[in-house]
Amino acid sequence: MKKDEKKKAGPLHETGRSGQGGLNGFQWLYIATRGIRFKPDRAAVRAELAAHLEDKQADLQRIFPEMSPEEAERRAVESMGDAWEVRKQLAKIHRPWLGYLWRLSKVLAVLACLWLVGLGVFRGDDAYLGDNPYSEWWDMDDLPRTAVMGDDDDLRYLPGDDPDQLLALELGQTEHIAGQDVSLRRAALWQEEDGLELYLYLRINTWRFWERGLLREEWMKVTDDRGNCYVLGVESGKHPEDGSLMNALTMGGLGPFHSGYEVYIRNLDPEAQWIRLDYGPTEPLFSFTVELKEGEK
Amino acid sequence: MKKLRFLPKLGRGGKTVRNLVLVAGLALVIWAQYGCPLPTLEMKFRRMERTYLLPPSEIVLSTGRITVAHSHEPYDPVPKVTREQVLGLGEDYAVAFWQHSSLRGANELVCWSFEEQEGQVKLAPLLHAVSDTRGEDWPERESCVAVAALKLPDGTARGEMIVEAQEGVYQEESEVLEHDLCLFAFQSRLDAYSFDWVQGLPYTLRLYDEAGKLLLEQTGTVPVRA
Repeated sequence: MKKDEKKKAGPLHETGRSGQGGLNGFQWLYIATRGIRFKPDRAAVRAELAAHLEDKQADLQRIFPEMSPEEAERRAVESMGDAWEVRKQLAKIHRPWLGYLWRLSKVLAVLACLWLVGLGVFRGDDAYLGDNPYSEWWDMDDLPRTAVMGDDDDLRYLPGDDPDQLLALELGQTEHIAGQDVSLRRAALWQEEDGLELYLYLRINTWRFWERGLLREEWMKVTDDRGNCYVLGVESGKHPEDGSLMNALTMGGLGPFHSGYEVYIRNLDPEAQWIRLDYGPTEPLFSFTVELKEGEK
Repeated sequence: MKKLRFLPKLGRGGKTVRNLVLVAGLALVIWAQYGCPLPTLEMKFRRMERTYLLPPSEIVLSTGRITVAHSHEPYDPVPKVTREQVLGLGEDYAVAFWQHSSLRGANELVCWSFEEQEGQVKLAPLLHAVSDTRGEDWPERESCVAVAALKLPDGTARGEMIVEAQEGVYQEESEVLEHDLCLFAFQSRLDAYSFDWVQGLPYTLRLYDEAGKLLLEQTGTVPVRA
């Protein structure tokens, strides 16, 4: 109790718990609300009860104009009931932990917002998507890379008038593995000067962003109906013109809930009727087959 | 400020729940920004497995469980793991996982396929060093390369592995550990070496029963990481 409150309370500590005898309004309010441990609640309840007391006192003085203010206050206090009983009831109703939890939740919410805004200010979009230029929130266009970049790779899969584009398929074959959806989204077959080039776009979707699926080149086996096995990566050799890998599995876009991959085969057997992807360290975890029928766009 | 009348008026309980939901959502975003850290090595290993679309394997070895008895002082305290590592056993492969001390992106997972070890005791090298405190030739041998022998024949009590390197022959012993495996820890005699120096070297593996009777002798080359 603060010093000025003690002064106002007067002989409160001498009053004891027996009856209302000698309690003024302030003392009654002090005792009645002392059981509420959450301070903002205590202040609010106290203000409400004080208003009641004042109303009662004013009523008494209006009805009995000859009554002194002290007497009116005493009677008003008496009509409010036993302060100790009121204190017990109020303490039971007002549980402090809910108040503290409410206050804590406010502080945490503000801190979390400040943290996020702070990170956003200092790191920009990188704070959320990383610094990979191909990262995006979601693969909106169902194509590798990002739609906003307008990369040539986007166009490769879309049906067009180019006579060298032999196939442009929208496949959508999907398998559910280890809680993730792996799907073969698109395939495109192109006639180049050196031969046929096949491009395949795979995507892994998951809502569990903390374990977004990844593919490994060395676990991908590509075969066709003619018994050819297309090696991916460094062992596939280099393209004679541009020096890039002949066949490979490359990252084709990523976001919090998806990973995109492209498989390209640049030495495809012209006689191949279908091509098969088997993925896994030993037994295939998933397999996709693509029929290579010219003219399907 | 104009009041947003379309929003329901919440009591204190409602506001608390709203705030806590908001905090949980924001905490999730902050957690993601810090690379989604997980508290235990096993959880990190399981996440790595799921990331690579692998079914859960049986964990047969992890930090704190490695106890390797050596041929020189078999009753001495055994090597300790210097880096956190896990070895999981799948149906037809073993998965070795090494957790980088700070960079989550640098964690490694390697699958040792058993396809090329058909009908044999399976070998799976760990990805990083284990330490050895025997202190005979080297006072502090802290960078042994460990090779696990899995799927041992019934009755195996101990094993012996000999690796032939250019600089000489390495021979190590191991008791059968929990989960029925032997772990052989080799210390290179070279000043500079990588943690995969034992991979690709010819080896001889001998397994013995309690009575010291030879149960199996197997030769081959230590599997090489792709």
